[in-house]
Amino acid sequence: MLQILNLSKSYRKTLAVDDVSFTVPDGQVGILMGPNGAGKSTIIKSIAGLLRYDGAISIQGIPSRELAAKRVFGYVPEIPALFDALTVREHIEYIRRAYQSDVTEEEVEAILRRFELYDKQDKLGNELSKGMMQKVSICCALAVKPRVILLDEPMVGLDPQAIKELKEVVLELRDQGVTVLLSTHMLEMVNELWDVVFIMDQGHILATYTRQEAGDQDLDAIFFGTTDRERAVGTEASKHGETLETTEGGREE
Amino acid sequence: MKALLYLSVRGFINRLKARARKPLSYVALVGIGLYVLMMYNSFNIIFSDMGIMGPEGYALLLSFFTVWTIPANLLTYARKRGLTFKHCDVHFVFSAPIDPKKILLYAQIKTLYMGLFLNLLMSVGGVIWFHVPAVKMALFFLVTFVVENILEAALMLIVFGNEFLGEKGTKVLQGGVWACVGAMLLLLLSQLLTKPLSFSLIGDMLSDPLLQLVPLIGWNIAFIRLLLIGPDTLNLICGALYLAAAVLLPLVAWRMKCTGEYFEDAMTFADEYEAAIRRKKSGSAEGDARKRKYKKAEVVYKGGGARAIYYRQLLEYKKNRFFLLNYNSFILLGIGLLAAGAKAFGADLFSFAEESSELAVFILPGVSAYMVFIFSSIAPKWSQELKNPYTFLLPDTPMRKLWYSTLLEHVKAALDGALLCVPLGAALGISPVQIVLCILIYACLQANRLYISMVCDGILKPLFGSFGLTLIRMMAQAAIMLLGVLAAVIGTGAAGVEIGFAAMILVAVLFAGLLALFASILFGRMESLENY
Repeated sequence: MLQILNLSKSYRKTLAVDDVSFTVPDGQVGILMGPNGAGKSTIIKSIAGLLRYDGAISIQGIPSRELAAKRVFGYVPEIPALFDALTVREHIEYIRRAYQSDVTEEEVEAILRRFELYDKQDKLGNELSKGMMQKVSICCALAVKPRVILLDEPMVGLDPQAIKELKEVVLELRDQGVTVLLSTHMLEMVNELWDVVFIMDQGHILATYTRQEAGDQDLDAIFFGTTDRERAVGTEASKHGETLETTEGGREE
Repeated sequence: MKALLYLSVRGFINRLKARARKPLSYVALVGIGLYVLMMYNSFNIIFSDMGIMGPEGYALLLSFFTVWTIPANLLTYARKRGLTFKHCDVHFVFSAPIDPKKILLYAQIKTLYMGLFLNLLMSVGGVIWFHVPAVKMALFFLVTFVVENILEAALMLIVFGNEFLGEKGTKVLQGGVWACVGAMLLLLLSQLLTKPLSFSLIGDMLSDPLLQLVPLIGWNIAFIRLLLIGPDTLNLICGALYLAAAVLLPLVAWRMKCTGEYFEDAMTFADEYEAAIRRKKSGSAEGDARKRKYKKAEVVYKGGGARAIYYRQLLEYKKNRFFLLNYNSFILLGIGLLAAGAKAFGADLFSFAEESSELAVFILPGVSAYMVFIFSSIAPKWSQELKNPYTFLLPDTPMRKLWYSTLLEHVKAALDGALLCVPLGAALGISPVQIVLCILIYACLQANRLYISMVCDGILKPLFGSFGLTLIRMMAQAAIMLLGVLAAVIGTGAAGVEIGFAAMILVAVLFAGLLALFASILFGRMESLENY
């Protein structure tokens, strides 16, 4: 389970995330959506422990900064950055040691084959294309055998085969009870994956929908429905000189 | 820590293997060997000229490094700088279940190889240049390498990784370090006021007993003096304090709370570091583009085709604070003014050449050529043009694209040349015509450098690798300069200095033209993009 409680983060005087709370339960796929500058990256980097923040983040009930929480947490950043002088296989070996993961040789081989990296496992990090780096990044996160996994724009740069594999992997993880949080702009790519969606704008969560609540609406309709409505309310409020307030409950937040 | 050790060791071995596969690495090794041999003798002369001899002299030299490095390191750590983290560390190390303190140590380990090499060099240097007994130097190496690194690691952990000081506390710490630096400067000032001005003043200050009382910096100096010169009451006490610090500070560091709050600052530093590396690789002399401020400017485009490149560059330069000038221009102006000032105050900077009037006129072109050589690694704006696909899509000939991409660079080179040559030429008493010719020599040599860079980086890079290219670039530049000098000497002998200078310009222009013709291939084919 991934739990975010009253998360706020400022960069100097700019409030990037304002008192955000949400939970993704075990065995569910959460999608974080929002326009550029909505605060998604800040939330993701805070969960990954890369930023100072106010509030609390817990992974499987453990504060996210504790090593026990990090041990069960897989992270695929938006832009992968590999070690120049390490081969693909050595990246996985590093992960295995760092996370004390019990991933077996056979499992590693299967992951690499799945993402068409098996024949490239001796290539150095600086010899790979961006798409391949992204695949290595995904393989490394899977080698952790995580209980919570965070994927930030994971489909960018991937070829169609890898996107297909990634979607299948996400569903398999969900079926194994793993918590998945995925941030993406490619709404059509995650239509069949999600269980709960968080729509963000200007550092706030505007709305939260579960698949049951959304009915037969696809993510496109949910996203634009919410953001258009918020914009209309915002314009109306500014016409009357009022401050727009977000409201909890009713899934509109 | 096992995972981080794996990371460091595997990375080191793989890098070594990659180097070993390149034949040019061996050429570089031979080059370094030859350089060390050359330096062996030069250092003997330099140190005896400076009066730094024997173990006392060596203790002074090491004290100087201590005074230089410790405050600088502390201040950079306090600003959460000084440790090299890359994007790959942010991706794979910061989010991993590894103690944040160990991550800091891992960053320090990356600098340990260089530290080991420098300590070894200093120890061997102590024996061969300062005649300190080898056994003493071996002990010195063991003790200083171990103790200094332990202390440095502890200080780094406390200053960089602490989560109790906060912004205010960090400022207090920085203030403390600055206070130490200030105290040392006061010490130097007191020596300046009481003793006659000479180089030995620095030596007197560094061996001042008061300096040894300064915490950490002074204690380190006392420890060095204890090991190299022998015990006295002060260095025994302060040396003991230094050792005590080397025991106590690691304990403080070990018990200190560190959950990784520094990750955010380290991540920002990683961004800046990688951007700086990218700029260095592309040879850009300009700072971080995101931090640059631009003025408002306008330009009227005249003509079409490749001329648009010229006008766009002009617009960009007009938005710059100092138009065509950058910090190199100011360095050149500084050198010109400094040399002129020194000459005006009677310093015999160029006495070797001024003894003969034939040689004296060549001082200015000689200095110009040297400056071109020094600044040869800085790539100008044209290299950006090759990254832009529109350069290739423009409906014009490759030669015209090359000309308009580099036109402003030639103007800029002439301007830089003027900043250097006018003050220096005036101080040397050279005629205005000769000064103008020297400016043109500077601009032509810069043009050669520019086109050599183009040919090397754009066309020859895949064949020779970066080290080979550096050699080729330097050799080509030197060969053209040599031919230019030859033409100048013949011209001067035959028809006077002005004709000699004109002959040098002619040679440089001729080569620049040939190189430009060759380099224009770059503006005709898109594949060259991959080389940048």
